[in-house]
Amino acid sequence: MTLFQVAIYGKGGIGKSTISSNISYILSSEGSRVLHIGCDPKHDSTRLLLGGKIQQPILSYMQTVPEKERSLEDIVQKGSGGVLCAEAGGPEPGLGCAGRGVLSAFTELHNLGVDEMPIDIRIFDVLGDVVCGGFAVPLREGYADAVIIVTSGEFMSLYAANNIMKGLLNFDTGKPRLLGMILNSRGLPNEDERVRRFAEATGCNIISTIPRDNLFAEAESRCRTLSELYPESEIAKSLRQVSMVLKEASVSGEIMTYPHPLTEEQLEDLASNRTIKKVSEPFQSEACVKPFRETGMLRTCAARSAFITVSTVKDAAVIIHGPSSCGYIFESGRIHYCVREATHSDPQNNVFVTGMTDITSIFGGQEMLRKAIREASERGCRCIFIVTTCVPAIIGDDINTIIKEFGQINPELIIIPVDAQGNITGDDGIGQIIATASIAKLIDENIKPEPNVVNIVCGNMYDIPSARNSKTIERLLDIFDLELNCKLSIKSTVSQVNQFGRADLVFLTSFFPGAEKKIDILEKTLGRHLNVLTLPIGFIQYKRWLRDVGEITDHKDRAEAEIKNVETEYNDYIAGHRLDGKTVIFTSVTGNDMDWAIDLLQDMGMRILRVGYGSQAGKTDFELRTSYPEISVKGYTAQDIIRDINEFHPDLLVGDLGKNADLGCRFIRLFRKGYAMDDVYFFAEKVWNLFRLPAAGNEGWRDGGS
Amino acid sequence: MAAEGIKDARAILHGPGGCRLFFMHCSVSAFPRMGSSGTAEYNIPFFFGQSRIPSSYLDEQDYINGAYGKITEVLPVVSSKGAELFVIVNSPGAALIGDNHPKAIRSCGLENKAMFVDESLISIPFTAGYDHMLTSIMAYLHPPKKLKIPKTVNLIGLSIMDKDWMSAKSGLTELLEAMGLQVTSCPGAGCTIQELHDSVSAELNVVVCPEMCSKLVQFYKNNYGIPFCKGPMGAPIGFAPIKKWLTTVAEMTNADPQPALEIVRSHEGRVFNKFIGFPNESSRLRGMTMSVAAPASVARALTEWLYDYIGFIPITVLADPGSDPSESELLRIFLSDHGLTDSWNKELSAQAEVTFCDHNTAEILSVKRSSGITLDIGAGSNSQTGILPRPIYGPMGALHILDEIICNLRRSESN
Repeated sequence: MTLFQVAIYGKGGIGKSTISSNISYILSSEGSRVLHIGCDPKHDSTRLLLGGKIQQPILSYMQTVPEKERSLEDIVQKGSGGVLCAEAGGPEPGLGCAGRGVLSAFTELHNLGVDEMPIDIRIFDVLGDVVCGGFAVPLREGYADAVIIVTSGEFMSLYAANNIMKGLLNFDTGKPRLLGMILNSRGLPNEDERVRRFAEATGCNIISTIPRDNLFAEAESRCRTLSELYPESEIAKSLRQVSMVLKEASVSGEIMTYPHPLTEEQLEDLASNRTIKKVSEPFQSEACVKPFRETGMLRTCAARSAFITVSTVKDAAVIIHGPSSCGYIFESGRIHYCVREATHSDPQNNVFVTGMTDITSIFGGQEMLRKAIREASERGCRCIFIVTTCVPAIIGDDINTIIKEFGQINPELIIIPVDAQGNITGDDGIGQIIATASIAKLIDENIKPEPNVVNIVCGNMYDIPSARNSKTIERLLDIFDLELNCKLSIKSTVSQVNQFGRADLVFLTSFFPGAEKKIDILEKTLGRHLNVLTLPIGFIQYKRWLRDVGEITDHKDRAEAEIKNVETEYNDYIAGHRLDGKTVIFTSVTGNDMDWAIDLLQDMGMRILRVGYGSQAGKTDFELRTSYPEISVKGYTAQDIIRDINEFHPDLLVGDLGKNADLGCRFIRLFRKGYAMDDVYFFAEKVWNLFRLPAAGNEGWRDGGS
Repeated sequence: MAAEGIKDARAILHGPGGCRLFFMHCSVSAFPRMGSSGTAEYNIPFFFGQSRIPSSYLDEQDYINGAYGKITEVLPVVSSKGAELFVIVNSPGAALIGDNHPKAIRSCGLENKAMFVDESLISIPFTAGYDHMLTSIMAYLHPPKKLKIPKTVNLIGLSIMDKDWMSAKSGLTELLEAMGLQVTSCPGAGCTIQELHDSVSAELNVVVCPEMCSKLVQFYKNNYGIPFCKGPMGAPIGFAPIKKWLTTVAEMTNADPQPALEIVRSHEGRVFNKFIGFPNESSRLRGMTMSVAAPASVARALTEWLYDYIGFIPITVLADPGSDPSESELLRIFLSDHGLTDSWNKELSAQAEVTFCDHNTAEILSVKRSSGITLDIGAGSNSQTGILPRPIYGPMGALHILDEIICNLRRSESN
């Protein structure tokens, strides 16, 4: 006999387990080889088949037994009538993800070789309603060949039956699978009639009606199925009718139907005993029609950039609460941006990953988080950031309660949650803002500002904190005798962040969409306005910056002296590097400041055709900070670039993504790496040299392809 | 990455866009295969200008309502870019929502070209995930049994995330061919779907890294009766382990190992000539301390070979999670037999003069310490941008390892 699989669904408490275990018993006693699988976290489906014995659930078995030591015999037990029994199990109420648990339990059964067992019929007894994708697993292709719904005449039971029918359509396998309903009567007035009307309206058969009878209770009290104890009872006969239908279905699928779930209005008609109206548009799977919302290319996730940002607080620990793979990817990013590029950097080893597994995503990861906090604390970390990833967010781990627990045990320990996990479509900019808000919790708002003290705040984590940049910044501060207080989100200690309030003057490393929000967070934390200047790049910005700082510090003379030095050199360079009449298009997906390069190329005589800024994580409502608003556009897509290249034939394309190098136009990648005049001549020289070469696309290496 | 290791297959990430970048970057850098048309043709949804690992770009609502609709939109777009197989892989978050991939695949008419992996593979070792995916792909392809073709083998247990896997593959293939063996397929390391179909006719599966293929070799054995062999000294890293590996393959296939051994000896000769001509070089190496963190088969080959070959002293040896238990045990016994028990299963030491480890750790060590040589050898390395051959496996791998040590020695000593 070919394996036939049946899923028995129904509202919680309707009697699914009782009925399904009876069906399993009857089928087995009639000679079928039956595997009965309970899919409810409370794991009591097989109780009556096992004489009241509690069976070890598959999921708790997976929690405790190493993979290589597992065996099918440990989780599949023989019950009365020879029925083979298994229970999926699941987490305690309110924890983890029970739906995922069903999927994992099925996978484990498969891995342990359940498919090789000589079984004719598998019965899945499934938790109440189809509340999420996990509980719909038995409806998936490869599982249930037939579905039976147990219901009573109560409205909520029929409502659940209706939802199960919707789930069945969402998981359509291309052939009808609804075998019918079993009416497990509650003895309500007009119960049969109401269920009959529902069945008629949904196009579903009523396989059997089970009358209300104390025999069930008696059998349960003896931990046996009714069919085993009272095989000649009327109820047992009704249940045998189900087994007959089921066997017939296993031979011929013709008796199965596609259901037509009712709309809410139709359900209302049913509840009010009105005629159930016909509808012109029957239920359709909503999952099929949800359109794709174009979010654009995300460079990273918010949690990753939040992690990188908070890990700049050197003596704090960071716990990544999530899978090890997220930890690895986050750490790769940190190394790439904050270690490899910064030759003098001092990477800390205060990073912990809870390493959530499939099992912890089912049972909840709170205990793993507690363990990680204890470990960080035992290593002497007095400040801990907790960066949560998608997995604990989806399963609803309660981070704040854990933080409170540790706060009661050790009031000195500072634990700060970094709530980036909910921003699934958030990009690195959003993660940085979230992290800034977390770091700002370390700031002492009572500290008063002092003159000639300055904070540096990271505008964008991609601003490279290299040794060269540090030297340049030191030189800039020296011009005006400024004392550096705290380098927020670059490299600082907990106590430096705590003292952030010593300075009202802030140098932002770059202006980046989101940088304003960071400043806003800091101002709100301190309860006062900050005097913010962006560190300059390029001659025009540098000149302006020098004058602004000269004004603030009352050192205008020093500013003018520096301008004079730089101006002569700059003008001489420009005079020898003219590109008059050449045209250029600028494009950025990062939203980085491009004005300095625009200024430079204009000074060299080039004509700017367009400055295009891509969308920021699907949003175009960010504020553009540019001196060239008249030629700037937001939401500039890859298609727009190609269109403009074809239309304007620019001599040069400047962009911050290397992929644009292949668009058939002379291309230079724009990085902001330095400050003041550091990269100005380097960039200008690169552009100048590009025009000394033939147009892009003719390089000899291109002939090497097959 | 295992799906991406198949030349004409495509992995599709069912998850948020943020999960895509790392893997996309790894795939493109580890296994470049862009045609002359460049990236422009990928300026479409789900690819967004990048040719590899398109994503369904899940958002918050998808986690709540399910994202079946996204998959049905992704599949036609992705399939328009062509491949022999599409593999849908759930991100950790997407694994929790239970979308109906089979239905989506069927509704797009891709039953014979698209598969999915439903298990949540989060936090399992890279090697185990690679192995699992390739086994799942083979189970999906389910090639019909074929007559065994004598003197043909599969080179198995190599991944595209192994350092310079292409050179490793060509080096090991050259050795096998020298023995008169033809490599039918190298599953997950640049093979095609057709080669995977053909792979069931091979006489033997020759294992490179056992951790990368423990399930897969059992799959071949149980379903197609193909036996496997692995190196008696661990993975084929370093001259002695390579020679043992070759001898074992020769015994299993009744082939003559001598021509292959001759190739290895010619590489050994190159080192010999260098060391014999400049004894100062080899004497400086002898007695140096080393640390290694890697799958046990890799750590074992490196440790035993370098101990015997130039007299390196292992001070910390750490077997990665997911290591082959027998390899771990043999490594532990080797250390114990040589009075080096203290080094076993210890965290990497910053004190070692030479450290072999994964890319991330290598990067951190290279910044944290002023002296010492760090070699990035592990899976997950994304430093794949070099052009010169720099594999770990095979004779060229042995030369590369020694070359890195020798060339960096003077710089390290001067610091």
